[in-house]
Amino acid sequence: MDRMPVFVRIDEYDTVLSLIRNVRHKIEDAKDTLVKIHDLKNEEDHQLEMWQSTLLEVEKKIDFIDHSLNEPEQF
Amino acid sequence: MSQNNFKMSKKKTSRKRSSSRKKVVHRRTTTSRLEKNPEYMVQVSEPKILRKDMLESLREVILFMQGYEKFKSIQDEKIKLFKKLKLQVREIDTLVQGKLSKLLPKGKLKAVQDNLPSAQDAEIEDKIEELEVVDVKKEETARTQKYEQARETRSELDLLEDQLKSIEDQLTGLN
Repeated sequence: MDRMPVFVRIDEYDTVLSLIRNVRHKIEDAKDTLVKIHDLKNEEDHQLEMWQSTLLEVEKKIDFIDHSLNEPEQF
Repeated sequence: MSQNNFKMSKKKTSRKRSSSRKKVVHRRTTTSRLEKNPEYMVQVSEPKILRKDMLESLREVILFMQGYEKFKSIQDEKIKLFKKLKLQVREIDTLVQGKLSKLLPKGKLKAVQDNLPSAQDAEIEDKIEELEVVDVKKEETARTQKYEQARETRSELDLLEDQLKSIEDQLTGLN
């Protein structure tokens, strides 16, 4: 009794199949969009890293300028 | 008599004209540019390097600002993509729940349902919906503001690029 095949009646079989195909297509689209979002997030992270390095560079230069203005060579 | 009258009237008109023609002359006060003597004299050991450092740091600040504009555009694009994703997921949901579930036969098993919502829950949901409506309005106003800002930032970007060019020219001159 447990191994008896089960038949399910589906009236509009073709419609169901096409619908599933459509859903699959939509899922692929959503996946693509998600990948794009991920790429943009990576780009944002890269930009943030660039900012950090730029700020460090500017800080170094300002330190040098500050040092040379505040502690000039003595005669 | 009539001539006198005419003269009188003419005089009157001439007076009026003269009064209207009077112009207020604004005299510009000339500001005397006095060159201030420097209070301190600082000997800079390596002026060329100092100047170069200043110019380079200026260039980096401008690059930083350009990066900010780029970052903003990335964020805008990300928001658009989020909205697109939301729509796509909603479409999938309508296809699966709305159409597919109707076409497929229903089983005997009942879906697990939470307790029916009470009156308080309904009130809370109403409030949430109201808040969402307010949020949507705010978003629309923010979007219009962003559009206006985008116009301004374009000109700002051009300005930044000009500044960057001039700094780079100066740097090449130094080298």
